[in-house]
Amino acid sequence: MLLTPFLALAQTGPVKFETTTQLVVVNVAAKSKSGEVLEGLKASDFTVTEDGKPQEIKIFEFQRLEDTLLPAPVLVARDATGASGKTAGVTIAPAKAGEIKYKDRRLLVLFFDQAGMPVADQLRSQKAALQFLTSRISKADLVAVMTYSTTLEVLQDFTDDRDRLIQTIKGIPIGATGMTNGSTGDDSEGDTGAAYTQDNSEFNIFNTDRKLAALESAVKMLGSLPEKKALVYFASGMSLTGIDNQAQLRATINAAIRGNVAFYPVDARGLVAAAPLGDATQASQGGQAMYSGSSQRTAQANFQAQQETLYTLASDTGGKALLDQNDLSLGIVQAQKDISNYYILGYYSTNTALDGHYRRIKVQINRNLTAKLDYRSGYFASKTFRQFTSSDRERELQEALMLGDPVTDLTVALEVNYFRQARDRYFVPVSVKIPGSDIELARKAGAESTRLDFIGEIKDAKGVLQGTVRDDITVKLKGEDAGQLSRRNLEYDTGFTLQPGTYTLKFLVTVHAPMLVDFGEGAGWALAGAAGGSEPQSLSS
Amino acid sequence: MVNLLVSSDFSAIATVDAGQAALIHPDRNNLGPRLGFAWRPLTKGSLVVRGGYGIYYNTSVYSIIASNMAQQPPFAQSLSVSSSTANPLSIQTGFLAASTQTLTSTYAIDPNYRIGYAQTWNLTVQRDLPLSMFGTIGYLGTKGTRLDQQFIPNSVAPGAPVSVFPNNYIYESSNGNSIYHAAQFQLNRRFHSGFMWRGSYQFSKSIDNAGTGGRGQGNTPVAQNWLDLSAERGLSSFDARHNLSLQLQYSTGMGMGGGTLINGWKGELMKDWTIAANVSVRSGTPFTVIVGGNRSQVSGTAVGNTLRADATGLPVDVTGMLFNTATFAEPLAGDWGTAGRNTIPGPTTFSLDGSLGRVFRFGERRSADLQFQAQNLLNRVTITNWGTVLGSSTYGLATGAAGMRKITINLRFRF
Repeated sequence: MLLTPFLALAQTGPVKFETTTQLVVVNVAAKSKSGEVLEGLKASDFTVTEDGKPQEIKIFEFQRLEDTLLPAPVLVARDATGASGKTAGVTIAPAKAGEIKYKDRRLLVLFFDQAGMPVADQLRSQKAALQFLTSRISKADLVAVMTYSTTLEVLQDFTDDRDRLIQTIKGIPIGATGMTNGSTGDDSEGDTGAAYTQDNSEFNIFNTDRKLAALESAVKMLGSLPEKKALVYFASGMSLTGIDNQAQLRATINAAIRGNVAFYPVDARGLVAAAPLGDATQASQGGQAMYSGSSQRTAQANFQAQQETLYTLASDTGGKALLDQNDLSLGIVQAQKDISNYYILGYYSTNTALDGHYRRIKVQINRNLTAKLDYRSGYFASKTFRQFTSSDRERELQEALMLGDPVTDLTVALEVNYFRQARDRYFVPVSVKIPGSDIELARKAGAESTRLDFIGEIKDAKGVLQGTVRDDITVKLKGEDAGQLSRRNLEYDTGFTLQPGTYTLKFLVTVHAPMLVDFGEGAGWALAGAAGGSEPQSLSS
Repeated sequence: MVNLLVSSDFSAIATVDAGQAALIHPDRNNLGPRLGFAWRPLTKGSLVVRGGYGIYYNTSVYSIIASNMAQQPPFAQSLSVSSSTANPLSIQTGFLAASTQTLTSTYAIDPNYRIGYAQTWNLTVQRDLPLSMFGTIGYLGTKGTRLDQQFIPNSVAPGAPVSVFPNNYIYESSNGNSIYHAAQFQLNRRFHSGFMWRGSYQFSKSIDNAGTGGRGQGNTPVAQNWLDLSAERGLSSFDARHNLSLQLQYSTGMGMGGGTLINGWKGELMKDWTIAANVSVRSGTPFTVIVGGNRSQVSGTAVGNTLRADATGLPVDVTGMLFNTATFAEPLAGDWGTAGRNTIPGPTTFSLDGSLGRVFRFGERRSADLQFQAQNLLNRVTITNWGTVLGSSTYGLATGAAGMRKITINLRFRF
């Protein structure tokens, strides 16, 4: 999206010039009935409509995914990557609007749902992932790693650095199981001997909702990339409580469809062989239900329901679930196979409204061909600042920081120093200065106060995040001192404690204030300034 | 706690308490092996064969036995006192008076009592079918061993002269058994594009001569004739020959094919609804005709309702009646009834429950679920019980029905 508002104040009143263009990119996989990829199609062979209105295809490219398998990795001595577990804060780097970030690539996400996964299953799913990475990964594959035990964590953004991926997978802690669903006292559960069995159904609804919400957050994060993404979801089944989890299940599936993500759930239990009323890990049920078949029926129904949720996630998003298979890596291979060579179609949308609504895309093939097309079903239009919710704003800040070159209207000066605290520890004070005259503008516009948002990150030489800052301050624009604002600087101080090394610091400041004049669509404006050394700075004794 | 030391021919009893001897010998070697296998003959096919075998013991069996043994003299007393203005009673003084009633022990258990167990085995074949469906065909067998049996030693049929031997206590042993076989069929559609159903049919039969289970043990029947325990063998009280159930659910706006991308007022109206229904048809659990009135009590005991009716040989099924009341007759005084246990097939039950719900979304994070749940949606009368006490005014008539239509409205707010 390119938004360029021009403003001119003429004697006769405000004249408004506005240009808004939105480049929309759609990846289309075209396959024949037998599943073969159709090559050699031209732009004129496709018709693209958005919300029913035909669009002119401006960009057309064929993406060839190189399916040569990578050779088995050889052990090479490498530098030890920074302190292990320093992964907090890693996110999926977004693409700029209209940008095709990963060309000729296939995007796979390995998502390990550790919550409620027994240790044996955790080991099995990690083994499958490692097996894929060592022997079945192809040149076109980019893999990201996420986990969920109590919160969603991105351990690795999309990369083809196989060693790092292997290391990341090996670093996932075994035994961190998060919260498991509680007992509901049905006929399949072992007798605890207690006079009263508590019914944890309400907790289970909440617990499963959280899991599904984590998946929803994951697909929303992936949604900023226009490419087709496959999320391989390792879980030991997922049980829903009646129809009470429907709302969240629906939200997750819809978010996946809108984000062009297909789920490839893998039942990490493999091909389950169990005695009729449960294996030896479970107590005997006791009671008549053992003799009337009720315990067995309930156990079977529960098992089927756990697999069914995985199936639903897959089939409703266009993926495939791997159930009852001991070779879990087949699930990843399936995802790999399903993303084949594709065409990139780009058009400038005729709908220029910035309403944040979902726009439905339809791609059809013109020639008398019977092709099965797979493409994203739509996208969310950009929003104007007024329509931002607080979560939108956070995301915008994050994305602006990661994109590296945000629009800068604000002058920002950054001062960095360092003090040695101990042999292996330096304190790095960071001072951010903003000229008051920049904010003075807002005061003149009649605003009562303005808010400054600060977001910053510091990375070491290997690109591993070492620290983050996220803060905001409110500056009063009315009152006694406000008049002097234009002559002063605003200063924000923070600091990091770091080990000796080479670091890159990036800082982003935005100012928000209401405006007097109307910028057409926007009733507010944002100034953003970014500062940071493009040259890494070294800390050494 | 007190048990009764019973001579091998039930001719003499003596009380023993925990200080004198072991009340029940421990049961130490209860191993419960569990075996299971799953086989996928073709890696590419979806056919899965599963089977397994396991031994599952009854649980929590001793607590009820202990409470039975605790409620016996010398630890239990029966006292009848009344308060008057001359002799007001308080908690402090009320229980000091000597009991005028002599309480006798009413419960004894075989010291060699063993914990009952179920041996269960099954074999299931499962295969995926088109349209997101899968089907299973399965067999399940369960054999119950050492199940709880209760009888009254030296008891005689009502009307016969009372035995000179001790005859007023219930004796519990673990010599019962049961056998259950079931054929199971399932045809399920997995939840896809908002539509799901689970259909299952089961054909099963269960026979026992004792109380199955152990947890609670509320259903252990007291045998009619202690000298003819084999006459207790009959259909289990839970035996339901045919069991058909169908579960349906439809949610709008789910998935690619379910219209999740419909926008505008059409989408607003159409999305986020869930309708679900549960239909179940089951053949009735069987009933036994027992003799009521003054012959319902076993002579010399407080135990009642164990005397069964005589079978006259007429068929049970007859048109115009719930069951043929002439099939059963009162036995002669001093005789046990000749009819078996659980010989009347009970009423087929039908139930239909439904629910309708809608999710209302407020922004990205908050939503509210409004649900209407109806039990017995059609408000249809489903008879669950028949009068089977011979001589009672309700004999041969319907005496119980499942609940009438009940609608619950649920509002759940998520934030």
